[in-house]
Amino acid sequence: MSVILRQVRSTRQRIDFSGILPGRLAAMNPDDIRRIPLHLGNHPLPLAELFEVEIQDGPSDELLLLPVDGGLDQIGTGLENGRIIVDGDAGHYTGRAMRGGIIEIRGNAGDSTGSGMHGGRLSIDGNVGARTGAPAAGERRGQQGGLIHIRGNAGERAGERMRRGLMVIDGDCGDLLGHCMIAGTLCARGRVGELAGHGMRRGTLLLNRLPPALGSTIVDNGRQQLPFLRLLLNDIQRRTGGPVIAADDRATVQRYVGDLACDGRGEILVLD
Amino acid sequence: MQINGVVIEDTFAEAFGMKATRIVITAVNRHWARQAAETMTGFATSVIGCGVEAGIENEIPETQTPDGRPGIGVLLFGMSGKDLAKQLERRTGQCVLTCPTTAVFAGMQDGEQLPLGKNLRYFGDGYQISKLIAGRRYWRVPVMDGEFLAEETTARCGAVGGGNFLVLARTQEQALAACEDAVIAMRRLPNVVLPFPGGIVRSGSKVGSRYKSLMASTNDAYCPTLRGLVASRLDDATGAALEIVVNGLDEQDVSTAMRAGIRAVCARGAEQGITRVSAGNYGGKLGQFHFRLHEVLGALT
Repeated sequence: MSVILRQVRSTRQRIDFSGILPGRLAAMNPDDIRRIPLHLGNHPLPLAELFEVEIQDGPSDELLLLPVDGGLDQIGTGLENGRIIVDGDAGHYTGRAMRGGIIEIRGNAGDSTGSGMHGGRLSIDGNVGARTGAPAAGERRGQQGGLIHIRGNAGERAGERMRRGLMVIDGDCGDLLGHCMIAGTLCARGRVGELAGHGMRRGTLLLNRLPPALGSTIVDNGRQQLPFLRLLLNDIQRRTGGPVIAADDRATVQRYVGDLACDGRGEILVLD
Repeated sequence: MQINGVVIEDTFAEAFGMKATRIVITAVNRHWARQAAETMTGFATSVIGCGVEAGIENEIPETQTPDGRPGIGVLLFGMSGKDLAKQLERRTGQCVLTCPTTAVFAGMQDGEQLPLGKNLRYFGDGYQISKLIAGRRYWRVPVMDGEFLAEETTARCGAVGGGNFLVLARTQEQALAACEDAVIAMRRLPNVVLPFPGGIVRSGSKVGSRYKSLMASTNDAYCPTLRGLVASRLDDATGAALEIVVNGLDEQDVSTAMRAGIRAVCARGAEQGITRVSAGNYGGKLGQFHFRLHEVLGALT
């Protein structure tokens, strides 16, 4: 039996939605679910004041969430298994530190989506705010595994301090893509803002077109033929569907390396 | 038992438990993939002298290789996982890493893992790059023609080495021709390799020697030039004997390959000089696997 939570009214304050996970709900009866405390700011109130609870046939580890706006923060925080479908807009920190399972957002999502993600799959049909996959305040690492797939556009600093995993942005993205990236793979299919790869130590930025401006410590490495690219492109296609960046993997690609101000072993591959 | 006039001796081939792994070598074209594979498996006929027994298993089309380039599957067999790991790394480093345009991938995923690119990556002197793709780790090592791509590990499994049969014929040419047919038939099969030159052995051995330093010596019972000097197993009509040794990933693979090979030999028949098919064993006390020729050919009779 899957659970449906339908938001019945919007609130002036943002709602902390952490802890509402499908595995937890599956073990509760509807009345218990209705009594789960939520927090508007520092004000607790039962879930039933904001949501209608429905139980329907379906996988027991599935939660369908129908928000009225993007005011629900931290949806799916720490998710380890199961599936959350958000039929609408999600707030900030969606999929924060998730370790497994699936989150599908059929609208837009706010800032720090997939922050510190360790595993699983997070897909957003719309746009996301700034700092997608980035670490929370005080943390040293951003995305450390799993897949973040943004079908729309992403704000600035997507992939900040990314350590492992794959992020794919189908649309455009803002400045400082892959800022201080540690490792991992970040694929941007649309336009990219300024200073992509600034401060990156290792990792791969896979771009469809040359960014308007690269930092002075990102240097031209020439055109290269890279056998691993076929594997990577196949994997991206398999995991995100749709057309991968159009590239003949046997052809050479333009490669930039850097950031020489840091470890300097990162790379930006431009597949135009 | 006789097939097409060829006597199938009521004896058995004695084979041993081994450890095996498979790797896939790709390159810009089939020529260079094969070049690397042949170099890697060139001196890998017997664990006694070479440390490993290896051979080319098959050609792999572009559509089935990890990087979409022509590939060659190679099987390597060692007496222990440790021996196998040592030879795999040494041969990959000296024969594949050095070969233009090549990349190397695991040909087995499940089971205990052997280092493939795991240590070879240090050739990159700190400029090597790791990529984790679809749960598998790869190493990109900078080399003078671009990058050498190597999967970090490949799996190993238990295997069977030393399946064999002997082909006895009136002349050397007739024995060789029949064995060539057998090799062609056997190399079509998956999961097996014939580690000796061209798949054929002319220096079959027996255990022991009159010289203390040698643990094996020529199989005098099958040497035509020793007829009359030793207890020969050759009749007067037999002028030459050749052996085919086959290693496989399991007992069934070896048995299937032996059947295909013997069948090809027998197709030439007594009319083309083939007199007998026999097999090599050590009395049955050394090897865990016994392949009785009559049972192997059971499906034929």
